[in-house]
Amino acid sequence: MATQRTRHLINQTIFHIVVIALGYVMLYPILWMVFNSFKTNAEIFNSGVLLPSSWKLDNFVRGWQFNRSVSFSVFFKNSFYYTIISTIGAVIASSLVGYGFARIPFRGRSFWYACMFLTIMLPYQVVMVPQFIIFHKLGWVNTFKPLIIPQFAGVPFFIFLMVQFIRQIPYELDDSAKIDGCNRFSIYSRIIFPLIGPAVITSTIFSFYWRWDDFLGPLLYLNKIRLFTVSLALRMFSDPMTSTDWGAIFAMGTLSLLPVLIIFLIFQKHIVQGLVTTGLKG
Amino acid sequence: MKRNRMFMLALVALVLLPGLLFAMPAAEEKGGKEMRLAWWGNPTRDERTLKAADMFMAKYPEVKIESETTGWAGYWDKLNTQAAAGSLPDLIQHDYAYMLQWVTRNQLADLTPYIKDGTIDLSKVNDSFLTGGMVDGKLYGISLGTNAVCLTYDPAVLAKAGIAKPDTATWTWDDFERIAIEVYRKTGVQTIPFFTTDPRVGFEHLIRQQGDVLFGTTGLGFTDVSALREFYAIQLRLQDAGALIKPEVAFVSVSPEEGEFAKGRSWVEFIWSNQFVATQNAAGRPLELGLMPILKGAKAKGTYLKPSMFFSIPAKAANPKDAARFLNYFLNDIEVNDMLMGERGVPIPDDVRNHMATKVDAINKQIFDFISLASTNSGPIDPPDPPASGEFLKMVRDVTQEILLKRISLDAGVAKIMNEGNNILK
Amino acid sequence: MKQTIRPKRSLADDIAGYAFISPWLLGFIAFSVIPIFFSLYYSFTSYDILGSPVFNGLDNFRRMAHDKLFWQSLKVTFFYAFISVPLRLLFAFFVAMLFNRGTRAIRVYQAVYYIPSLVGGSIAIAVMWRRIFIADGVLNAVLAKIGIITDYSWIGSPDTAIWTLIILAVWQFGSSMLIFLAGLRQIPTEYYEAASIDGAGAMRKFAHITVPQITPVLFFNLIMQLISGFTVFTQAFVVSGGTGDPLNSTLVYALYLYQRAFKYYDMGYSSAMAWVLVLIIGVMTAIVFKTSTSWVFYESKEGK
Repeated sequence: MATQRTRHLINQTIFHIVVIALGYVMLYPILWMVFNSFKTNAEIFNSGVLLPSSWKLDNFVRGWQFNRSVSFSVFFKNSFYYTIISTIGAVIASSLVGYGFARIPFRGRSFWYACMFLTIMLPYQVVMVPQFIIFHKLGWVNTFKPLIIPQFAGVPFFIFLMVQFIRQIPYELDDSAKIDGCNRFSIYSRIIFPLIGPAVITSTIFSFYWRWDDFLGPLLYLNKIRLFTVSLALRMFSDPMTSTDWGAIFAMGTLSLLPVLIIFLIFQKHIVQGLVTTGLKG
Repeated sequence: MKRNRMFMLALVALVLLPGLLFAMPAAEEKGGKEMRLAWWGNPTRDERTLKAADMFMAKYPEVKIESETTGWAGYWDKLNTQAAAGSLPDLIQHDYAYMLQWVTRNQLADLTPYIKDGTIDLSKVNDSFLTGGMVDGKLYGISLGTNAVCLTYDPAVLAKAGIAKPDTATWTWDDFERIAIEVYRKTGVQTIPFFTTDPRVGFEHLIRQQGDVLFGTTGLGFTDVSALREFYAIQLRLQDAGALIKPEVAFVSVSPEEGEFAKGRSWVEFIWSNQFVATQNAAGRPLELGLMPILKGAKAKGTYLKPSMFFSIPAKAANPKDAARFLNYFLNDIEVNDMLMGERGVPIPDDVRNHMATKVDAINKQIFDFISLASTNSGPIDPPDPPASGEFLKMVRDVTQEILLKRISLDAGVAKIMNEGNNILK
Repeated sequence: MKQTIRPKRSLADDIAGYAFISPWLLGFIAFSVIPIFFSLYYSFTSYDILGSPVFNGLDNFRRMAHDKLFWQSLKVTFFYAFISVPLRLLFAFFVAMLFNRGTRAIRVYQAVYYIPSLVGGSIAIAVMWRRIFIADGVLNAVLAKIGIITDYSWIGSPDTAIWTLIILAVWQFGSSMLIFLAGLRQIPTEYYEAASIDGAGAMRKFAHITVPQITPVLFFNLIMQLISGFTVFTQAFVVSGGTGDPLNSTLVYALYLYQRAFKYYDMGYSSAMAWVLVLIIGVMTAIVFKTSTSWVFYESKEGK
């Protein structure tokens, strides 16, 4: 028995060592960037040590000022504006549409549902050029409209997620509400919406991530520096031919990851759940 | 129910937010007075231009300048996108090569009205400095200085190798090659591949010496490939001797500070004379400035004086008035030019130039001396680039790397440039 | 059975149904259907956005056949997708197997391994990635520490540049790992117990229970990730500085398409390229679907 226990212990130890070592390698690039944001530029490329010799915030101050005419407070404001409004629109619209698909037996339902699935498969590149031309003709370039308004149509992934959740809610609840004199909309708002909380939270988180990291959309539609999101500003900041202040770039890069990481820490459980639901039930 | 209230809140938000959405850009436009300024640059130029904008805003607090800057490579992509979207900045830095294309696409405004109404003062500027920005008698850009292609080297390395400073007015590529090999043998310091950002600058210099032009009216302007071939042959010979920096490293675009020359791994760097200030700053050690070597049996001068860069106002600029005011300030104000120190090239107004000449800061004296050396050793400038030049230059840069990475032979590479070049430009 | 009890489809249902899906339906028409038709039309035209489109038949497609950069971008993209997607799934599966045990620390490990997927799409990471693989970058510094001294430029050499993007993709195996882990946990333990009673070893259990049970998940992930692999843009754009450097070795399809559209204003040509991409993705998906019957294990219908 003793030998079996030691064998188990050795097994466990090896497992933990391997997993921790691999985890370190995986996190190394991120840690490197985060720690570099506290180092002087000379220290970044000349010292092989990961931890900074002293924790200075100069890089953050310099980076935040960006180029004096516009600072990162503008970019963060833009990113939050774009992300939050898009997310609210995407989630509410998706839940409405999800309810329609899951509960109402209207004519053409399965046809439209299939269409929605096809759009998941459709590469963005197909609609990129004509969308740009249309928005350009509407005079929407250099506003957030081309980025935000499509979100208010709902996002197929979230709609699918909502449908999955709503289908698990027993019909009896709808029926009893109907007897109480509720119409479709109040069934949706009073009964269904409160019950699909997990799907709403998951969609909210993912929408936040996707919008926050969105690069191609802002790249196409936002050309004025005052409208730049954090992603665009970081890209301009780190232009290979002009950038030298890597400490400041890494500092802003680190800050740009913070909202995403904070949300992850708070909602860890929901993220895993969301991934599993969308990933599993193809 | 708490949940219910949250939902109602969300619903109200859904209704209100689109309103907010339309309100926001309007609020942004109301700010009104901002003037958007764009240039391509390097850390030194960015620093000084931003300071110039600060000085202008201190003097005219009613104007707010917003700056956009990228490296040369990304600059034209960005500007093209903005042009298509009708959202170009109010004042843009422009280049001689692209001037004509932009004028024919009706993207630039004629600056004559601003000169007539006195916003831009050109009274101290000799007309010969303005011709580069003229198309059909209209002025589309004002030159910010005079420029010439040049070569900068590290005299300390030559001294260490026991080599005398070359007389760059008369030296040939043979001299250059001999020095490069000698330097490598004695010090281990290598030579950087020629003009990695835009190899065209390098071999155009050689082609001009053949008496040809790079771009003809329909295709390439030359059929004799010997100069083009020589441009690569020299580099390949240096490479075979181990004296050429690896193309894998040299062709990665980095800022001057991180370049191989600043790090002391190359004894030489090929630049435009107005990049000398930034190169010097990045290197942080004394540098020499000279003319490019001469091709054996040269029939003409390879070097030419070029308006270093222009400031232009787009035809659809939202705030052209302030753009013109800033342009005037940037051009004529002595105080701001004291700070800029000819970073974009030798200034064109007589009084500013004369004033600068008295300042004789060591680096600027080098540039002034170089420009006067270049002006006695140069030929006339060729016409601006044809519209397809962008694609052609990309192809050339690719083939250059293929040749130096030995993916194709020298002859195949040269043939490829000729064939594809004529194809692209036809 | 429920369906038959419910009343027949009524007009009220139709109105309510369309009212509820109207946000999506309007968006679908405005942002997908109309652009798709325009895109199809543009692909047969020459159009520089400033003028108006000029019909030129199949010229764009003919041009593609001779466009070396087009073929190069296809080559790069196929290489990228076919290396990075299987590698990422393999990694994810391997780590998921490793984690499929009852240690309390798993939760923490899971989170740590997921973080790269979380931040991998951001510009900050792409910018940093370039600094890792540059000649004076972290990788060479780390290699020097373990005694391998090199000044090799991973970003600058056409042979390795694409690998930096592949590594960036594989590095983000965390989300697939979580999905696999959930899949593994759904396999009923009775299957394994029954197999143990029959005397099956670990390998047999793995081959006959674990793998067949996980294939539906694998299948779905394979399709979705191939699609995103074929349309990768941001990472290539930032890591290569927007150019596809060096020597177009990181010129992925979406990047070339972007350049054609927004650098050269070749809207017609880029639309045609987009349709070729649809065709490729369609064919790929069809192949995966067709072959899936032979390798995806579905529970028998009676099971549910």
